[in-house]
Amino acid sequence: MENKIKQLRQKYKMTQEELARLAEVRRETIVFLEQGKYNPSLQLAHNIAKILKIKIDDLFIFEDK
Amino acid sequence: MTLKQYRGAKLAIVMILAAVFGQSIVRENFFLPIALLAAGVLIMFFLRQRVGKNEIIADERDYQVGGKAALLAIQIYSWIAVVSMFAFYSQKSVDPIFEAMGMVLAFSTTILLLLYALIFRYYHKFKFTDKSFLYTLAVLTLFIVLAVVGLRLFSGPEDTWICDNGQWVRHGHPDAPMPVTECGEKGEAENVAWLDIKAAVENCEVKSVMQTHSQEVTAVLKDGRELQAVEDNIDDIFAVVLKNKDKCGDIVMSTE
Repeated sequence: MENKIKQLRQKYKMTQEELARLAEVRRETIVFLEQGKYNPSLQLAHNIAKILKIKIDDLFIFEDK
Repeated sequence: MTLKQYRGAKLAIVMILAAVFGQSIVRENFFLPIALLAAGVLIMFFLRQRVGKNEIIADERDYQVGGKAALLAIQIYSWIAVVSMFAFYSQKSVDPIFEAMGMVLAFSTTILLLLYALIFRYYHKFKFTDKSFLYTLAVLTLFIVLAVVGLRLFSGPEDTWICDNGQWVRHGHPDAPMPVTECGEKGEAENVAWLDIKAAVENCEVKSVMQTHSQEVTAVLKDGRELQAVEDNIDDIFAVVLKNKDKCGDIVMSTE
């Protein structure tokens, strides 16, 4: 699933390490999230959206199947 | 303590444990590794508490990947164990230790699957009266019953004499008397059912014998019981009967 995490993180001049610390996950999880290789839990998606000041719907690009 | 230091300590503990385990097996001392394992777990638990609050040891992604990896590992192990179990069990006539190995694999796999099912259900906060749990339990029970029945069907006769360390040992309740032939390295590879018939003839317990073209021999004993075996060479049974004719008198012989 594609997302805008990388763009927004760069917009706020945040490193992956900083975002990971704020979201209470490992840096590798942020790496995988940005690459679209991992679908986060609803709780983590909510935490990241809150940190990046955006709605979940706008942060993640959901594709209807 | 930083995450890096924690990982280093974990690696060191694992390496020490591996070295001690290896030496313990060689020296046949099993107390030390168990004590060290317990100490290692406690040390790891203590160190984990000391890792800084901002350091994440594992997060949801690790747990998700770990869950998938564990499930796949259990499935692969179970398949290998089931195939190996049947292979070992089919070779139990070669060496009784194979039967024990097959049984250990069968029971350990069953316990592993049951444990997995119970833990899985526990995390799903289920009730033991749930229909899905009862269904799973029924499927597992059926699997175990089929495995046991399969072992009985495909593993040959259960009631026989087994050669163990140069001595004939009763396995189950064999009809035939103990074989009179020597039991040793050579005897183990021999046809035990055929040896039973030979022994019965030599003990004058046989009333009649019948041989088919496929070398299958049926011996009817004087007490009405029947023994069946495949002779090593065609007409072997007749040679045995004639050899014991003076001692045992006439034995009815027939063929196809």
